[in-house]
Amino acid sequence: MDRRQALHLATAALITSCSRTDNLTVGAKNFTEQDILGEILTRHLAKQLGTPPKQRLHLGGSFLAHQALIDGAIDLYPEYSGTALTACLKLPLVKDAKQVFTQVKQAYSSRHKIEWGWPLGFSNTFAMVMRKDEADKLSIKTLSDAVRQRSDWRIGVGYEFEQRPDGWRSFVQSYPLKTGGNLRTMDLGLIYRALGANEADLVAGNSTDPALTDPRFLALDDDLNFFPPYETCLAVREAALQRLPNLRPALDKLAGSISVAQMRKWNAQAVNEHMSPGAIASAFVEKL
Amino acid sequence: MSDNILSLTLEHLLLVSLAVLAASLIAIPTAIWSQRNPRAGSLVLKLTDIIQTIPSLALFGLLLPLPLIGGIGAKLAVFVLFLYALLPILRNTLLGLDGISAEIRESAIALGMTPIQVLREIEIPLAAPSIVAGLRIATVTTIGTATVAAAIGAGGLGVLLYRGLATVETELLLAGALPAAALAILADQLFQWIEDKLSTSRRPR
Repeated sequence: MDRRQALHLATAALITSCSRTDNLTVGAKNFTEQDILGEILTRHLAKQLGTPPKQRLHLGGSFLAHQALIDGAIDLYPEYSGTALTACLKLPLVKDAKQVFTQVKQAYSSRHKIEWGWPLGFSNTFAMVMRKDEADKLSIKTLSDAVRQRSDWRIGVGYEFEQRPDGWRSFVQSYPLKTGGNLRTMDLGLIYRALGANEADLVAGNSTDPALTDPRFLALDDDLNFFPPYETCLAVREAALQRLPNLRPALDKLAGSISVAQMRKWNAQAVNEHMSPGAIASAFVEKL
Repeated sequence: MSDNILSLTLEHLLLVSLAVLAASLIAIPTAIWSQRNPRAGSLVLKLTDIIQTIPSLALFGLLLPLPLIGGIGAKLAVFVLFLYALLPILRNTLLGLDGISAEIRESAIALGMTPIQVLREIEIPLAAPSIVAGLRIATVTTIGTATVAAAIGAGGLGVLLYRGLATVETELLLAGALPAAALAILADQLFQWIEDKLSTSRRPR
């Protein structure tokens, strides 16, 4: 095959892939839980709408997914209410779950013509995690204990937590942990490895991380209620809901269908048992 | 770890220099040895080829728990960059040595030169342009790959890239990407200059 033929083929492939833009694009962020939720959305909507939606999964972080949704590169993606409030919509921190929900819903709709809703049934809050043996030794159970009991914390966080308004900077105002300037910012995927290898003493993970079922680790209690609620919902472009009348009833079926225990189990299956997010999603969607 | 572009650029340069320096100290002698032991040499080359195909994040994940080289910070980052820099230096040095014809070696031996003298007086000078070309590729590519050091808190310009990516702030992305590009161009020019010097000094006057 010469160069020109290859070019023609590539162009043809490009055109066929573009001709489905009247369809729907499902987005998701770049970690395991979102991979699974993205696959569930894709398979569920394929079944309900008759045509498989396009996928843009594993987008590099909340800010990027938000941008893609506003630009119309994706039509919907799963987001957490606290993240939507502070990181995407840049609204001030609110602690009451109902208030967060209505504020997010209003701001999305008036600013971006995006509908917020369909709470999936579980929350995924930040979890500050340390090694269990150390926590026992220093008798640390809550984040306030952590502030009191130790003065040389090495803290491992991802770049998003470092930068977010509900992340590190406001976190240390509530919990003035003494770090000796030792904030270790790294790729989010490496934080539990760093914690396990004694390269960090406290890491900012998520409450549905399968690592939390590991007996070596302990998630500390947020006793001052610093973190806002992070209810998992869907952010959907209004234009897509108007274009596809079957989309709304299809999404309604997903609301409330996933519990925390279920989500943590799926995350564990994906991470520890190397099940593919697609296989996990298929099994669930079939029974739905 | 300071946040301004200048100090991050210096940090970046330090990571790159240490990695390339260490890689050349290992790769050049290894290439000389491989040239004399082709069978073992091809194994070494294959090994560096394989290393090149492992994604940096996977390498970080694998090596993080190890004692000595592991851990969060510059040490592991330099080690991983060092591993990636081995291949271009090794291959180019080998290429330069292989390009020396057997007659030249034989006549040098016939003149009574010892193997060490042959290496120092004949082989290294003749292979020098190729070796420098290898260092050039290694340096320029390492300046690019060194941005992954930020994945394990080792600093450098990748910090700005990672932050820019996490927050979708183009200014931050550019603040990391532009200095890295400038460094790469500067390094390339520097090695170009060295290569020119080498080729003019070898020309008969």
